[in-house]
Amino acid sequence: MESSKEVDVQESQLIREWTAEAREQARLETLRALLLRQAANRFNGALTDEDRQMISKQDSSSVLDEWLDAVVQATDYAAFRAVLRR
Amino acid sequence: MRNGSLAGNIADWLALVGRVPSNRYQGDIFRIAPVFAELAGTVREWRQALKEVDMLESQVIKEWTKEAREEERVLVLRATLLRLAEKRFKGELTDEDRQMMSTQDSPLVLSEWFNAAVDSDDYATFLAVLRR
Repeated sequence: MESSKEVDVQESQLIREWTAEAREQARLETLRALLLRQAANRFNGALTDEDRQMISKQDSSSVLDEWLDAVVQATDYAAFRAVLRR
Repeated sequence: MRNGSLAGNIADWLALVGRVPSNRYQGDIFRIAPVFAELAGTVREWRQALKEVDMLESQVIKEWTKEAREEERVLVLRATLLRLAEKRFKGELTDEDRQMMSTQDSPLVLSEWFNAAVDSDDYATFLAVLRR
């Protein structure tokens, strides 16, 4: 242990890693919740449990972004589903 | 703490920190511990041990990272709203609209604006919700 080493709590490597993981988790949770809500609003009862499962398990924020765009731009549920299954 | 039982020690430690009544003190304790791990050169062991503990599910860590998670949530909502609004109302968004969206701190308001961006038939309807 280096007794003279300066201790900077904010710069702790582990703290930075934990915060980054927590942020990533929050990012995914926010996108999934937005997507589930918007898809449910747009396609009423058409959304299946399988669709919800796919959305809830997706762990890429760029894929979730694409699916969000699809919710807004798809002309109908079939078009959205095609993007979801691509 | 020694490497052999580090995972068990960390699990015990998280449980003990969870019993500290003040969230503020929990946060303080939590911020200090990893610094000692780094000074002791046991970062790699801590990282591995915490994977086993499933640290993101720990209430202590959830509380401690609450601020970062809430900040990230607002950033994601703002970015998603801006991206969507730019797509939906091509060329109509003003710098003032962008500024409003980029500086809004309430997740609730941002969610309302997001709904309006999706549901509004035209820019004027969306703008009315934005300026409400």
